[in-house]
Amino acid sequence: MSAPPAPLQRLTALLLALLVILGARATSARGEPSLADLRRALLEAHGDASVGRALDALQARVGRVGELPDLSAFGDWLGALPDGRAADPLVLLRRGWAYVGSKRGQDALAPLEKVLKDDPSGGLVRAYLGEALRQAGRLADALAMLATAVKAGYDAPHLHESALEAVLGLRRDRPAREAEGLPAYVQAPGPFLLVVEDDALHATLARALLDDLAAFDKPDSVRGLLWARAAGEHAWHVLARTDQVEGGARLALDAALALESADNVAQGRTPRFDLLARAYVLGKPTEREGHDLPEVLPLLAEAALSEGRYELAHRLARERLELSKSPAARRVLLKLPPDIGD
Amino acid sequence: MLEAVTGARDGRGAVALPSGERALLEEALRLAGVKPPAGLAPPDDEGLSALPLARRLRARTHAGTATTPLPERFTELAPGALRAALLAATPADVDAHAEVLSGVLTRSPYARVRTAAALALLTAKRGAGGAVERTLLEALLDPLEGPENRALAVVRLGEDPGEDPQEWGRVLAARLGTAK
Repeated sequence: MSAPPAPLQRLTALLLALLVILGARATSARGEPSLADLRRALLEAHGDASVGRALDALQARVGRVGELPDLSAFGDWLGALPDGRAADPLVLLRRGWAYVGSKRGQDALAPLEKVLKDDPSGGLVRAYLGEALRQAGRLADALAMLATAVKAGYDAPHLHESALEAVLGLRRDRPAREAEGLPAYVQAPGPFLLVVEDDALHATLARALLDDLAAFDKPDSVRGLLWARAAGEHAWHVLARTDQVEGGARLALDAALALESADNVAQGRTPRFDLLARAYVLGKPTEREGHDLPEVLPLLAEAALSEGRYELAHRLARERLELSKSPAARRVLLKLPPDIGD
Repeated sequence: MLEAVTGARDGRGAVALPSGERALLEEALRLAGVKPPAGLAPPDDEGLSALPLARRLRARTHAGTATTPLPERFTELAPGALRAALLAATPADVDAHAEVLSGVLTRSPYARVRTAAALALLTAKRGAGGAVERTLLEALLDPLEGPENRALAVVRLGEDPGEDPQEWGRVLAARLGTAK
């Protein structure tokens, strides 16, 4: 859509201003206190409860009065309060929140850091500060701060969204192909994931690592082994906990495929078998015969074979051969001891 | 077979073979129902790429209900080998390591290892505060390993409680002494 011509823009601005003035009058006409009254109430408030109520009343006017058209302006307005009121911890916290809500993370840092300095126990403040740091582009710092929020006892969906966005930002800003070991987007959320269960973040990390492994490296290089191990661990962490992962069967299979070399190096000390087992279960349709990912069956049969689980290997190979011809499944049957199967 | 590999009918000299070959020979003898000569079995570590520990343990318990002692530092084994070691464990070994096994039962990230720990504890009639029963009831319903888990549990129970999970719960509780 093209921008409206300049005269039309001016007319629009005039109309908006008129509406704000009319809105303010209508507010007064309904008997609500004016913005000046609310400002005075905030300046004169004593105690946290009273300051909090005054801030709530002011916040309710955001978007309804000309002086406070949006959260960004609300934050600036709070910062300009006189008589030391702007330095009140609750005012600073609300100001920081307003800046975060209007994507002005850089401006939110100072007020939120001041609040945190006065009271380091605040999990909510740490969560806001984490998001502010993320918006300011300090993504690793953001994840570290979010971890401290959880440690302080605060947890909420917005905190997990901040962490996910920070990870995606790190992957964008510091591409995996330039990493010597694990990419920054995998290392930075480590402290966060130590203190919180975040299935979406684990799944995102696993998928991103598998994509980057396919794009930039090989699973049997030194770096590739490292990435495959990390992808497998993140995938297994989430798939061991829940079935509710979109594309879970595919994720399990891809992670298991990437882990083949790493599993050989570690002599079976990776979750490869378990990922294949998960892919088998998640890819098995409930409504019909067959399997959504038939390639899982011979791979899992081979893994069972290597663990000496011949009955399981036999059953899986047979199940695969019932679907269609499969040289891989037939190879498994040929490797079975003579006392197994037919 | 022993003579063909070692050059001596009584298997003397077998202990001088490389570990991988000794493991293969031990497996072949056990699967053929022949008791291997003393000292033939290599140590129960996993450094025998030709023959994983899980496969060696399977051969040792191949005929009937034989059991084997848990390898030293068994909790450091890879999940597949740990599962096999737990399934082959003697009741005395389970008793001796009951606390460690309870930890494996509740904390291993691998369902197959937790199930094997539950089966080992079932062998020694140890309920681990209800965790054995819960783990086994879950394991019976596993779409992949359920049939195998059921067969392993039936061998240890000496009876088949059938298809009803409630009946399984009743039988397991009675066996583990957790019935209310």
